[in-house]
Amino acid sequence: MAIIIEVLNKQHKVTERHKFSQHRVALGRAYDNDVILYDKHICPHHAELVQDEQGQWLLRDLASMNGSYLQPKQPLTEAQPLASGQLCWLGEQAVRIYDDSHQVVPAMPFNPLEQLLLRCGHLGMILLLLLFVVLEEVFHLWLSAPEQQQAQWSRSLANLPLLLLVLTLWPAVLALWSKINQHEARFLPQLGITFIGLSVLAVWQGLMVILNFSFDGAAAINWLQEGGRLLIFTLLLGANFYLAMQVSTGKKIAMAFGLALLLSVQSLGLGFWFDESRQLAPKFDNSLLPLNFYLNSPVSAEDFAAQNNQLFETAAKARQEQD
Amino acid sequence: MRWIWFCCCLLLLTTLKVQADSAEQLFARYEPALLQVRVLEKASGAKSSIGTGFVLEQPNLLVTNYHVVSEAVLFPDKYQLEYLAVNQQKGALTVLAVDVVNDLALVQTDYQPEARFSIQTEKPVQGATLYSLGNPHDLGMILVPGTYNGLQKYSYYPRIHFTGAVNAGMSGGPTVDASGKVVGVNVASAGNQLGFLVPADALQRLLASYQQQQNDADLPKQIAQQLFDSQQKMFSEILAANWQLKDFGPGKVPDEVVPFIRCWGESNVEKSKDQLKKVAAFCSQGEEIFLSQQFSTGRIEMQFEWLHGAALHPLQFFNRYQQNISSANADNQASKEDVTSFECQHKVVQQANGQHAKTIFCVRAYRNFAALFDVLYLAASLDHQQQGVISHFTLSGVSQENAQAFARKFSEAVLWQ
Repeated sequence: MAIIIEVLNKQHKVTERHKFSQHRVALGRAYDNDVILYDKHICPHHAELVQDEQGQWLLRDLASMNGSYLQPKQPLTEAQPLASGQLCWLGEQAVRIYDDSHQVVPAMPFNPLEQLLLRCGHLGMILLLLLFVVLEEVFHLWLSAPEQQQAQWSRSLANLPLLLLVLTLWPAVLALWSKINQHEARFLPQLGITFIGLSVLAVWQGLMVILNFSFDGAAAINWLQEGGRLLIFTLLLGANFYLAMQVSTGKKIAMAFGLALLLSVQSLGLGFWFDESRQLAPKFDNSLLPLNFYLNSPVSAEDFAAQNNQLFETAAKARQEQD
Repeated sequence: MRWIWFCCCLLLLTTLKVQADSAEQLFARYEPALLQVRVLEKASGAKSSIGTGFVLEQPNLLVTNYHVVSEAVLFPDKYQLEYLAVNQQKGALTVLAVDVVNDLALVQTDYQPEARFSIQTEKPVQGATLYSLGNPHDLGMILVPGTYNGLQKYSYYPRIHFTGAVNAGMSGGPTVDASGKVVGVNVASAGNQLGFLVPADALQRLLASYQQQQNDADLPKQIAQQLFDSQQKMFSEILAANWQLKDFGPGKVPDEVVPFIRCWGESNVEKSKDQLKKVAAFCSQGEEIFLSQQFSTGRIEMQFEWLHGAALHPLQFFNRYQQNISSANADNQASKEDVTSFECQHKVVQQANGQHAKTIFCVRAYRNFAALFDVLYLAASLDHQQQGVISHFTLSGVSQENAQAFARKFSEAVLWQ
């Protein structure tokens, strides 16, 4: 019966896998071992695995400097039997031992969601989205910086590559994270997901500007806008984390939602709570667009005046609620 | 003709008599009837503000400005009043009646000087020499000679224009003619020998109304009634007027609709390289009624702005247009204790004549005076692609009915199509 030895890193991810059919396997740093390890705390001839007459594998420490362990803090003093799948340590180096009859988990079917997310790494699509994000930025510059302020134009345009670099930083961090943890960076899919998120966000904001104007800055539109933004952030980060992490789906969703909430709260503006001086100033919606963007039907002057009477009543009521 | 000659002779005689009573004599005679009015903070006993007051011939009555004693009227638990006479005598004062619109207060005193002031019932002639008395900056009682120059032009609240230095601390002091009779009460200064006085007939009216209803000493109620009556009178005049319109950008806006609303204008059309051209006009009744250090009312202000950017794309234009209406605020001073927060509505309104405007209307109520409000209105025209007219007004201390009527008249007067 053959024996399989997995050499693990500090995160217990497999770095090497060996299979032997002999009855004795030597482990250590010296080159005459069967499994040559390179951890500096391991002795040249550190330990050996031997199979007894019954076919049982035993681990024996060869009087090593830092000891061998099956349980933490209990160095082996004599040969100990091993079960298939058992973890043992040579010094700090973790190894796992398997029988060749050890059951493996059944094959995973292709995950449609993962396939879909991986398809976000399509280079052509990423370039297209990148172009869209750049155009959207340029459109905003054009809206607010008329031509004669050339200096401001060129400065803002020069900032665009920097902006793109910052935007690619997030997928890069995620790729690095997943490279460390599961050997797969998946940078392009992460980049694709990030730019899809940004593009959807831009479209959403644009739509909301029109809706906000059309419904006269109604509170519901404001909530819709914030809710939509929260949802987009959650989906974007959820997709990012789905590819980058190997934790349970529930945890991924919770982390994505938490971070999205944080981003939304930050964009809602903490100034709202701290700016006392503005409390006496009237708060109103000042959105203005050309009249063809108004999707609602305007109120008549009479209706507006009637609603003004309501304001007087509300204010008069507030007056009696002395603090 | 002979009658005129007779008048002239009489006038000459009076002038001669007047010159006989010199300034030194006047001051010597009336100085004892002048008191320094001090507002003391009860907790610390320190002076919080000072002014001047003068003793009337009517028993135990002292006159000063409302703004001198306002803290003691509004916060009787925190502040008290005290007088200091020229002979260093001190004593307590109690406010009996106030007229916030004319900034006058009648105060009870136990101080009994020999000479007392009486009120002149006739108007002085233009150019007559008057003497303003008071205690500027706590430097001691002084006399300032000056000239009577009639009533302040364009002012809604009648004020005598006195060419003479009225300084801080002289507020509430009398201005007398050569015979020593009170023609006005020092109230304000615009610097450089420009002083303003409350005419004696306002004092006469306050005295009469006090004597009629001697028992009603509920001062906040008095103030509320005075504010309400004052705005009622002012707005009935404004609303009844036939509003003159002036050309403004693509349309018309109200001009100086009543004599006491004055207008100015400015634009960046010539000087600025900005592609967004702005023409602005402001109109206001800028005199306010003082209620406390943090609270004033009674102003009316109208503003018009015409923005046009022929070189701008409509989206660019509207982006800039929107920034121009991003903030608006009341133009009277008020604190959280005086007013509620603004309640606003903001809608695109189609007016009766078919023009469209994004219209913002905000209201806040006065906490201590029922049925009075500050109102803010802002409308931005939406019927053009590359130009817009912003019309804006703020009213302070106005009733719901008057505010609504004014808003209606105003929005109908502003045209841009």
